[in-house]
Amino acid sequence: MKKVSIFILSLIVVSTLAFAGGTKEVKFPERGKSITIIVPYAPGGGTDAVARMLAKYAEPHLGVPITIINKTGGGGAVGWAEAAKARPDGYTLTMFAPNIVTYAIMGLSDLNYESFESVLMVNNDPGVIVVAKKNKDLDVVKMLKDPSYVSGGENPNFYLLAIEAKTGVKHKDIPYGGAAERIPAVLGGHVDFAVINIGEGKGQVDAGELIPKAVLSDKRIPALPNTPTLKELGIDAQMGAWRGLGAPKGTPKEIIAILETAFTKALNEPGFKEAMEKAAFTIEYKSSGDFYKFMKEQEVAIKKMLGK
Amino acid sequence: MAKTNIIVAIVFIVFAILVLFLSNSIPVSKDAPITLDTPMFPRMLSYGIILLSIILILTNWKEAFITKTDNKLIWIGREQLKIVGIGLAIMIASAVVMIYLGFILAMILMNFSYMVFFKVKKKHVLFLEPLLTTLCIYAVFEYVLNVPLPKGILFQ
Amino acid sequence: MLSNLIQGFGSILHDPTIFLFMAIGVVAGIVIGALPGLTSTMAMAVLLPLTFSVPSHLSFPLLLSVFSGAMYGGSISAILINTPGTPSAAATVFDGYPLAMKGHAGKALATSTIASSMGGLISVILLSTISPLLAKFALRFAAPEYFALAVFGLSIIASISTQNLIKGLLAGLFGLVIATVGMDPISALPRFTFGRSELLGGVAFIPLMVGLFAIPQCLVEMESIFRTDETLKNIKSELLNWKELLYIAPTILKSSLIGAFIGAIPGAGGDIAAFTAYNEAKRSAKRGEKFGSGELKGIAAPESANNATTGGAMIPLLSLAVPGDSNTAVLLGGLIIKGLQPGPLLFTKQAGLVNTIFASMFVANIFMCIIGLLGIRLFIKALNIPKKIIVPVVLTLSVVGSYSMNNSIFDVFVTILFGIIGYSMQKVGIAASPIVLAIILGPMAENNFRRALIMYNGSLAFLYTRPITIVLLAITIFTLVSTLIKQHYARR
Repeated sequence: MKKVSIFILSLIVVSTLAFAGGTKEVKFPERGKSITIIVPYAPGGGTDAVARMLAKYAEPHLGVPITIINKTGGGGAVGWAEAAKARPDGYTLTMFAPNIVTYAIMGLSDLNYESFESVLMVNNDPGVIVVAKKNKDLDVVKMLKDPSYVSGGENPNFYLLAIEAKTGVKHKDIPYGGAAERIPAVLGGHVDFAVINIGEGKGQVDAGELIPKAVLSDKRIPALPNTPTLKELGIDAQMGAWRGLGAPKGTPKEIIAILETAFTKALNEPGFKEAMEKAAFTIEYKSSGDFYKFMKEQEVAIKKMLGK
Repeated sequence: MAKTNIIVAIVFIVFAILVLFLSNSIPVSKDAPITLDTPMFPRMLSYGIILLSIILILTNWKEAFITKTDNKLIWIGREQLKIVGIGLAIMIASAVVMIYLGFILAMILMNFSYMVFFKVKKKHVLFLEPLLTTLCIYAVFEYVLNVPLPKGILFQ
Repeated sequence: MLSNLIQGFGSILHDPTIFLFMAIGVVAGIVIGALPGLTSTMAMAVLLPLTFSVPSHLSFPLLLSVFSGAMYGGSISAILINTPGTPSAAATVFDGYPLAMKGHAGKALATSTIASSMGGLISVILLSTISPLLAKFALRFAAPEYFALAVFGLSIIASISTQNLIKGLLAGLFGLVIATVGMDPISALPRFTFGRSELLGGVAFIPLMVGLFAIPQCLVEMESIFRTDETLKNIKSELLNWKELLYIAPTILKSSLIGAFIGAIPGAGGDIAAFTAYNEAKRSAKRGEKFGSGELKGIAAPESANNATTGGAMIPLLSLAVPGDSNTAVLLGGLIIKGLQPGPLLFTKQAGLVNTIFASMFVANIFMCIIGLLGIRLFIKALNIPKKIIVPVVLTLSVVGSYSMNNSIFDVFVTILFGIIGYSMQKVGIAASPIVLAIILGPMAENNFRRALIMYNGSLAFLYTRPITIVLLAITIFTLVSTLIKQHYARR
């Protein structure tokens, strides 16, 4: 009897609240609709791979299909411009990558992370300093403090800038197009070292052709348990390629919360963890609020590096 | 062809000057490594274009203005120019329409305009071609290739 | 080793569904390749999610069949409607279309079919035998070597501009200027982007190709649209005879080697290979061979070379995890999603998959040959479709193709703009192919030249101190001079 009365009472309270405040319960996502994730990079790349794996494991938690659309160009800016214009109803999301912070600072894009709502951070692949097999015994700290060693990077090379900010030593950095050009440059001995993400060079690392010397992160990463962090070696430089989800500005808080919960569940799925580990992507979860804070910190750090 | 070549050369020189002018607004990074500056390569190309254009003018000068052996302007006839102009106009208009009305309507309209413009008489071709072409392509892209085509901002 | 290939056959014979997947893949690839604006990269990206759900011994053969089929399919539209379906078929237009116009579309298509599959087969054999060697050699390519390779490629402009050398060079320089649009990767500063983020990555290549080839061709067809609706009369559907087959065999062999070699160098794909092979075939032409007006060797060379890059491009992908072009980049994505890390260990740890890849590429090329030869009679029918229908259809495909590359209407306008430029240039006797070649090679030349300068602290010593660079530059000078001499005598 007591239980029933409590139940009825709470029912009344809830319904009056609902009617009085007009706070309808948000029904998201509705059946029959689908969620689109705009990936601003080409299919086959790292961001695309993470998005596809994430979509696969989040679908059951959201109950609707998730489609990936690759809208490439402008280092991500074109895809983000499209996502920013989309209706803020939670049905269009986009993948964030470091350029969402850096391009605005470099004056290459009008949009930055502030033009979106952050949903959650999914992964963060810290930079890994690699050398060729013949330089296996090189002391990485000595190398980083000796300006005669040449780096194969890109312009701007935020990994190297982060290291240089701590060591004060400037290396010659030959700008390449991407990891696909940097790794052969190290293997062929055209440069002495490069900073890559482990997923880009795992095959070579496993074969012993590329030697990982240090990781630019706070803690050692699961893919390379025997490789020290640069912090352990006395140079506290941290920088990674991170990815997360964003939604158009103005997407209701309730919807962001539903998305955050569903994607967080996907992140914790054993299948997702296994797939990410196999592909050598490091999962790093940050909640919506923490992700925003993280990007803000990145912005400050990068502005300092570029002297802006 | 000689006179045409001289006109071609002049157009290229104008293009090169435009590139040189625009290259002035290309930023130059202050702490760049020792290499060519960002605007340098387009500038070198522009000088190359100007040089080659001048050679083109010089080698054709005699034929075009002195011996006049080969000074016919190779261009297209008025009739052809009109057809091509209208053909292009239909395409440009359709691309603009596509922004507002989306892929299906814009392309049906474009194909139908071409059918009318080409004076296709057979009724079944006149109506079926635009519908079939557009819908087949739409279906392949939308459902097989999974590429979403524009829906048009009026229908969003 | 060749034994890998044989083991691969063994493993694909276990599961006959592979053959079904591959037949579908080859047909889909051919269709996609033949339609201007649809690219194999797009098709492979669509099939990429399949690697999640379908076992890799089925999904990779499917992807590879699409890859091979599309590389060949591009030649069909190049031959029949003077519009290369893919950038790699741009060099096939030179002799393919003239031969078709002479009524020998059957011969042209048969040549491209046989050359394509032979090129593919030769490259698979090379891939399964000397791939580690070639991969090691490719690693010796640093910025100076890439620069020299690009210069060599650009020198081909001289040999394809037979009508007027200066105008050809002007077109090349125009292409090089267009290629500078976008973000300069060396300094990370934008050039000629007018503040549009769509242009940061440069003028998108597929819209530009469609603009330079498909649109002008449609406009040319329109000019005579009101004259009696004449479709090509007297199309002979006869294919090749044995004599002709023997005649093109040496060209196919040489071009396939060129293609496999160029494909093995990361960043150089089917387009560069096709032009290089065409150039070489033309340079070594004997008296009486009429390149540019329907020479069989002029079709065989680019077609065998571009298909040979499919095997070549797998070398850096599998052994270095470095994708050679956008197609292999998608394959790399597929491997990564599967958790298979390409690299030297793939050959030992995943030997089964590697062997399957070899064997399925081999079978895909045989399928391609059979399907292609059977399909020729059907393809030729395209010539019977009235212009009044084919023109709007091709224009619709051009719009959708240029849009879908980046899902951007901006690119549709890029296509139209370059359509107008391409048409005007054609009218004044400037060919589109030097522009395309320059746009492909421009960034490679510029970026690597500047990279090399950084390596050498601003000195030009890299031009004469590195053996491979010297060899490449010497070959450039040799082919350039011998081509120019030949052209000089030919004009007399």
